[in-house]
Amino acid sequence: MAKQTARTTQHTRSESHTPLVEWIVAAVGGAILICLVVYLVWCGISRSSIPPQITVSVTEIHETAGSYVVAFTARNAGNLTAASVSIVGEVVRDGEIVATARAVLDFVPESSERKGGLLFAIDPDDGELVLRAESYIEP
Amino acid sequence: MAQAKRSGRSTAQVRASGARSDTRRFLVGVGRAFAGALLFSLPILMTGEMWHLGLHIDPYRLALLLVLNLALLTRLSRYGGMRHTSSILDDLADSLVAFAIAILASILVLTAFGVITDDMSFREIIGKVALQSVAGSIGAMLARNQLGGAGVKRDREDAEKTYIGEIFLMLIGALFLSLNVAPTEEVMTITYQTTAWHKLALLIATLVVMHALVYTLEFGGTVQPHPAEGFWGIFVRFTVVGYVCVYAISLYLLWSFGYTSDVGFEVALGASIVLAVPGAIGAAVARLIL
Repeated sequence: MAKQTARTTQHTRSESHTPLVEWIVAAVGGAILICLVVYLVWCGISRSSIPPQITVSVTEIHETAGSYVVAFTARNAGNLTAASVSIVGEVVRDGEIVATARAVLDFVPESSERKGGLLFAIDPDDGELVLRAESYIEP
Repeated sequence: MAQAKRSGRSTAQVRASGARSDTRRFLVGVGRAFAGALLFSLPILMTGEMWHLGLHIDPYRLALLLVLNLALLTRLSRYGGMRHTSSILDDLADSLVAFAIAILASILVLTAFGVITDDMSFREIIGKVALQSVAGSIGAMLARNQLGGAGVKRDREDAEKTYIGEIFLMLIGALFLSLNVAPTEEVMTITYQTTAWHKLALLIATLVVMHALVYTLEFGGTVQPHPAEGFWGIFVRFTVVGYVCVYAISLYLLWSFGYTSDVGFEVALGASIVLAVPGAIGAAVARLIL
């Protein structure tokens, strides 16, 4: 039966119809493709090389057994991706750094956020907590 | 229904039932295509370098890859489509369906794996999904044929027996395997840790393996050359030309993924030899099984 159908179809190629539902799915696919290409070309045109601008903000501070966890969000406002971004957090008391913790984020893409945490042995609220990105490399 | 079609009757009833069966076949085809997209793209959906590439791939090169992929799919539809297409427009419809399915499969899998999340920028998500859709759409297109019924395959065999058809299938095989390997950093690592002699040996070994796979190892689809054609004729017409195509695909992919920027000309050529190793195997096997 299958063979027969296949043979028959071959003989009547001009009658092979594309069902309506396929045209609909194809139209959706075509629309997605056109949008993607246009969007990517637009990205290419509007691309300027503003270097990564990484700001780090504290999301929340938890006290766990024996340490304090400072959860942070790093946001890259530039339009170049930064790789191996080193985040450093310092607790400053009376102008003196009393505790330091570091974390490395694999990537902080353009206009995106990445989250992480820093662990301190002392309560960061006992002084001034300063978080910043100290280095990155180009991917 | 086949009976009715054969006798050339075109009553409204036959047409209605024909349309119904076309629709049913389309839906079954979509299911198969989805399975094919998963089968072909899961290896790279689970490759970290591919996720990162989605971020920093050059947007122009990604757009070009998508457009070329559509052209390739449209041609492939002649061979791998789930039905006998009668016009280029039908081929285009098939290709766009394969593309839509691949996009859907990429979004679902990448979301399930936590690769795309809501705190990512639009650009990042688009890059990741679009890049992954290339392998997926080839898989979707091929699956309609490979996982499909025997009748489709037999008819298709008539179509591919041209020289250009054979070379085209080799390109598809090469593209598929190279796409899986190209994003990994090991391609460049191997390039750096091998000498020029290694690469020369790789090139020769690749040619030998490519030729042996198709003509001498007697796999299921082993091609029987025309008796009048000598060894060198076949070797040059298929294996050497095939290798050059595979090499070009390798170089193109490495360029698309940005691995050829910031490196010397020799490094780029060497990396293409390395990437052509899996590509050539893919090309040879494609001639056997596709």
